[in-house]
Amino acid sequence: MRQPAVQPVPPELTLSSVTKHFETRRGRMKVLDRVSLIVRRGEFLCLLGPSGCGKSTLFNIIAGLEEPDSGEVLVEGEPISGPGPDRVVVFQDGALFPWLTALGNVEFGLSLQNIPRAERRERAMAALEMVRLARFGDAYIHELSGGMRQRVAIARALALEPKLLLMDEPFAALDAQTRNLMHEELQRIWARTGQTIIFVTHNVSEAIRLGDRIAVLSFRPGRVRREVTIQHPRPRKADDPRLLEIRTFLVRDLRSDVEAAVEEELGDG
Amino acid sequence: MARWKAGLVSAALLLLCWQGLCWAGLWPRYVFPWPADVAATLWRLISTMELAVALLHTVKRIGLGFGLSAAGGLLLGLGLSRSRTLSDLLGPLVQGLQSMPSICWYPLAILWFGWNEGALLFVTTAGALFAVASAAESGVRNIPPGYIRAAATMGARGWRLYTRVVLPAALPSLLTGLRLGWSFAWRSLMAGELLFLNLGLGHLLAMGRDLGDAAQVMAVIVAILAVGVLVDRACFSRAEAAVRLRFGFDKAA
Repeated sequence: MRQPAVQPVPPELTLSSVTKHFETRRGRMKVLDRVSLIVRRGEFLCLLGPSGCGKSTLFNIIAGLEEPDSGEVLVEGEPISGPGPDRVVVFQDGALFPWLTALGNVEFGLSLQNIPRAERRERAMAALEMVRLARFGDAYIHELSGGMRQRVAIARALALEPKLLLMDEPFAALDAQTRNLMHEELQRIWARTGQTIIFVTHNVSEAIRLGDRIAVLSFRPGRVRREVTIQHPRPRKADDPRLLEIRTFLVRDLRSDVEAAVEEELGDG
Repeated sequence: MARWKAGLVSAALLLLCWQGLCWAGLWPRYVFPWPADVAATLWRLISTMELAVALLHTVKRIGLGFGLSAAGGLLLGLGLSRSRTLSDLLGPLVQGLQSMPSICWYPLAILWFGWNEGALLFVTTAGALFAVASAAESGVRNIPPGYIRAAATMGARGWRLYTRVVLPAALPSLLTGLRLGWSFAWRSLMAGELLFLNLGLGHLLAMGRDLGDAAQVMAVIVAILAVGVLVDRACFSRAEAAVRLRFGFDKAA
């Protein structure tokens, strides 16, 4: 299957020294501390960290939904300004529009770009085919299962052919079997499209199964404390014993942070 | 189909009770008319075109009044939802005016407009406007923020974000607001027509009272009820059912 690109390509995304604070009742809290990251074209990067490590904040900054206090976010060398269709997001709950059909949802972003109707339809259908939902174009969102909804959300993002596909724990709300299926689907889609993906998760197995590279964020303030490259061939199975080793290592690595997070939550009570 | 049957059964039951009370002879027939008397009067009003003329005037008034309050209320509500300042300034006023019984507007309306259509239109509109506005405002404010974020990352901004995402997402609340507005407008108008002795259903009602014709009063009440139910069923229930179906509200959560 697909191998990571060998020749030097311009980075799709560059984060340099991104720092962010939040104002809380107990004063100013540093959420992200000089986060620097480079994502190459066609790469599948997983942002892994315990809840509260600032990965959602980092994600929102990349999406343009939040602004960093300092530092730069460059897409193909250009600074971003606000959210835009070059960085489409797949949210945990899908955030699909219930007043539109599945096809209508996929066409939504395309119609904002004033793409003519025929081409719009064609691209939307192609995207639905990519996620194997071509037969469900007419369905309303509430008629679809959780896994199907996330596939529509992925199709909606793919149809826009973004430079970056941003996924914020997109499978966290699904049951284990559906999630396993979605992991297979996403690997297949990634192999076929070569789409650059940034995937946020707190699930170690998920990150190992999907990512070319995993950036591990530390707990408060969020820093990239480790980057792990996974050169394991694809498609990867959930129970692959060779991945287990990396998993054990990462789980141990994360333990102190997870404990710190839990302690803080309990201590706050 | 089952609902139709249930409706028929309940109507039949009502008629039966009514007739039963008549046979019991508790009140004289001219005070508490028999169903047959009311039906005969209704037929007379229909065949002499009196009902049609009254209906025409009433429909014209409610159409204009409700149309104005729907348009104005939606605009006001959307404006309030957009601007925090506007909402802080006008919000309490809108809430207050919404709770005002619309019949209380009549003295002012009569002073301003005189005993005419203008006063009727004013009160009909005022009775519904604020209810529509406040429903529209809260509807827009309560849109799941995820929709807006998702639309923003796909490149929706400004006007298009509004027409393509905000309005459709708020549609269920907007419809509820319109339905509420309709019932307020309808009540205000009926009150006004009763007071004004000016062609219309309310006028027919008042005329029945003046003539001491309880059958006419009841016949007109039946007509007023019918209009209310018909509009509710034909417009609002249908629209709401369509929206509920599409949004999937009827599915067990």
